Amino acid sequence: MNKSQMQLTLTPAVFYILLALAIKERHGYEIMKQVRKDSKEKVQLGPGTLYGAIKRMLEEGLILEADERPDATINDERRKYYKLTDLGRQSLHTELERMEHALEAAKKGNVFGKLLNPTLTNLAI
Amino acid sequence: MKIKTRSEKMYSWLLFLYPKKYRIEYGVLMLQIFRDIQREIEQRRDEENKVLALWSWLLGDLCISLVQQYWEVIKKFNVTIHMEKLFTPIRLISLIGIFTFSVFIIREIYFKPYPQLIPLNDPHATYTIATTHTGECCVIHYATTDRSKSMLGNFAEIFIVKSDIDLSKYVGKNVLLTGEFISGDQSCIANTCGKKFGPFIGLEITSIQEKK
Repeated sequence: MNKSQMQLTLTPAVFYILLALAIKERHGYEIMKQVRKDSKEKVQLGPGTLYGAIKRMLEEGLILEADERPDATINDERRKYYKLTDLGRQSLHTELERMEHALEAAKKGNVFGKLLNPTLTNLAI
Repeated sequence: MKIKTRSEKMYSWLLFLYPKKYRIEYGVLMLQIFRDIQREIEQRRDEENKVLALWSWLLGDLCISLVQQYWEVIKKFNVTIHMEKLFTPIRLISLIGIFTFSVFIIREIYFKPYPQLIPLNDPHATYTIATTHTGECCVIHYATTDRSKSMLGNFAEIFIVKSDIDLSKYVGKNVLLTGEFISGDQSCIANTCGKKFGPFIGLEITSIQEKK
């Protein structure tokens, strides 16, 4: 899979993890909470699915391990932190740009209104 | 890492179901997250059964991620050589067990037929027989005075009826019913003004009498 293809195939989990890491370096549990918050609880990752996604993202070079340090806000256990790579940053940027363009196009064509009221679509046809 | 609770111990055993390489790399981190989730759920006051809530969610996650991880291992290596090592009898039996248990738990929690509904024999509830535009009989249920039995509050609900009894003579009357709630399948779709609504929750009525 080349880079441009990879940029187009972000799963919801991968997208939200990238989004969470775009703000700052985070450890697993922080990522999980941020993903839940950003997706309005639509994407809920458990320990297995989270580290499954992290493993794939590490292999694809979208993220990398930052370092291991204690998190004083929860307890003093040492935690592994993750951060975005250039490829991860670029992938997220491309995806966000794509979403922005799609949203603009949808707003221009009043797609939201038509979806809520199908009779508008029939009239337009 | 020191294991603190029984749930944690159980989860650490379940981690042995993962492929070895994955477990060595992420097992400790997953256990750490498990501990965080456990702490978070314990702090929630609204949750009635905290242990069940924790495990119902985690077992789903476990099933999905186990399938994902084994699929990745199978994709990477020569399947015929490694299949025996990968699925040892103990591992296979445990996987089937967990899958069955998860299906059971998920079914119990999410697909139990309308546990929030007020029982038909609730003396506080009022059921009235009415008709839809197409002449079908339906039951309108008004809120009970006994709030503890209902999560539905003050709203009236409409149930589409399935019954062998002729209900037309009860139209407009308050009634006492026996029967059971049925799920909202195709038979519970109201056809009103040419538009289909629903599916609604249905009522299968076995006996009816006027409430005095």
